[in-house]
Amino acid sequence: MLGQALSIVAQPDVLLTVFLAGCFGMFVGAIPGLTASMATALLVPITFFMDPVPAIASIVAATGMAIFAGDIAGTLMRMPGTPASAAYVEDAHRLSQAGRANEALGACLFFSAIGGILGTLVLSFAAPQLAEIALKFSSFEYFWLVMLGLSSAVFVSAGSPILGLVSLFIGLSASLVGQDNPSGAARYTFGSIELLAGIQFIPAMIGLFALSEIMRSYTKRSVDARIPPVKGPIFRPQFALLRRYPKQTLRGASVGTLIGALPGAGADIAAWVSYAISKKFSRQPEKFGTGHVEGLVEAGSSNNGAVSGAWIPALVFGIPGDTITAIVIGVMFVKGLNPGPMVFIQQPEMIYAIFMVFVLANLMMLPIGWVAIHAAGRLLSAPQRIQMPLILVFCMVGSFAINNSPAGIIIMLAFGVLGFLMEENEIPLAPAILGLVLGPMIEKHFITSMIKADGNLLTFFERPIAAGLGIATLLLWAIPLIRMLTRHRRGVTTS
Amino acid sequence: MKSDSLFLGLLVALIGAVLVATSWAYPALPGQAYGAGTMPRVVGSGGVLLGLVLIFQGWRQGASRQRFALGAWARDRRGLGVLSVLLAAVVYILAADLVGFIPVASTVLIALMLIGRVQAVTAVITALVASVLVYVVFSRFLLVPLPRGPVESLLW
Repeated sequence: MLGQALSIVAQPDVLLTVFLAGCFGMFVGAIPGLTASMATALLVPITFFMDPVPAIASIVAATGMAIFAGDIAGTLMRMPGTPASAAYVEDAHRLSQAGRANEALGACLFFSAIGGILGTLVLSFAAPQLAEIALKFSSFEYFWLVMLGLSSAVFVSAGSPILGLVSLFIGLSASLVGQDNPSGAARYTFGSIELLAGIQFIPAMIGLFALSEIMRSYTKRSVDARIPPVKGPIFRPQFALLRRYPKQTLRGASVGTLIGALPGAGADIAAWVSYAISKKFSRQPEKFGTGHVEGLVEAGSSNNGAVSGAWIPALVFGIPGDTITAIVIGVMFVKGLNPGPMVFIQQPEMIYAIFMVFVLANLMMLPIGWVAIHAAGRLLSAPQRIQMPLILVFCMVGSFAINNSPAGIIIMLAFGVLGFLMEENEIPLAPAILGLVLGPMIEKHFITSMIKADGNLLTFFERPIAAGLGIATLLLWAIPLIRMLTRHRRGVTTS
Repeated sequence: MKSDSLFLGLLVALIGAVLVATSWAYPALPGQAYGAGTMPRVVGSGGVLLGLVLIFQGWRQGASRQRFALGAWARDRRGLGVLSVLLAAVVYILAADLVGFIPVASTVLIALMLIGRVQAVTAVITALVASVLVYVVFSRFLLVPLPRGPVESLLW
């Protein structure tokens, strides 16, 4: 069967498609303002003209590359391409400011590929078993998992946890808008039809991170500032990192794959939880957020592990975990591959061919990524006074193209101003975007759990996994509180 | 524009209070105590609490600090730059559907580059090439329906 699968993949047209789609993903992802979801969505009409395996291969390759390429703009310009890469954007950006962009980008690329490949291996051997476990997750487990992700974003990132909470509050408040709530009521839409679907997170993210950065570039005295070009070896430092952080790499990839396998959880939670785990068990936790590569290694491999993991529910049950798998499931149906338990029995060679494409795409990411780092590094080092207006146009096109509606640009603009004001007040941006993305999910699971528990909050701890996740979340909340109290007490005794 | 914790706290608490107050307008699920109003109530209450903590922090810092501090950038040419970015986006939103992508995008690009003191010739050439290129790639190859006007109709 593997031979059959190999013969499907090792066709020149499949290989060429993977390569071209990979270049396309790299190109779209590397431009600030354009995102991985957009790359996937734009590819769909083109896949209609392809055979099933190249069609899926092209999407898988483009997505993987675009997610990594988003790290290029994240590292060099502090404009992350996905909410997941916002987890380590601060560390990556500080590294690049310290002249170590090659090391930071290399780590993003190399550990993304490792995470992706490890995730695919798990996917090929244990998809049905993992899917069984994922199905056992009830609303209580999901509730705590999302809480854990959100809490990690608030308490683990550098800066004041209080301001992190303000950011989360902004994101959660924005997520309340729209009809996506238990009673389907049009909430805070002020009569606007566009707002019925809620605030689209992609334009919001482009606004918060990219537009606010463009505005900030105009506040600097010298608009002629350039980003230093990427110099030095990309891959050589990575082998040393792999030797130094083998446990972190494996832990990141496994946590990522596990969280990714839960429908709806995905890479965003995975990256943050892994970053938190990495900091908790690190020998140098104080260095996190100041340009330390350890969190980058763990969260980077977790991020891509989760991208692979998200295929588990998608292929085994046909339940999409995120936007990208949802698009691919659509394409699979169009191509006559009906995802679900039967696809493993009826067309196993196709499934294994798809797994091979995953590995292939992750391997191809290394050379294409290398070229992209150098090319983008050179392009992005053009004078900012020319570059920033161009990025603004890309931001507007990118926000428009998500729904082909100008409402996206308005959302981007509003969130851009918000992001600018937040940065001026030292309020971190990442918890806000995570709150906006995960708000509807936490609401759904919270309401379902409350109804099931009849309002008894202790029920949230009755199931073993839920209790474990719940206690981990509460500990995350307790640590800064205890620290604040002891600091206060110490202050009182010294005075 | 930097505000102190007291003002930020008031703002957060106020938004929280508005969320709680408006949450009662949304219906609960039939036969249940929970519904569309539950989450706004929870988030809003959190906001009120958070706001109170911030107000307390600001109050302890004392009134000696300025309530608002505009960055130095706001007082010279740089403030104009920040505003022009926003204005550019507004102009694009309002005008693109009427005149098409290329004229509006290139105007916006030229204006922003001139404010950034790019040489006029460089600004015009870069803006025209970039907007035509973006239009062709996105509209023709990636099938994004960017606004079409008379100029775009000349292309194909």
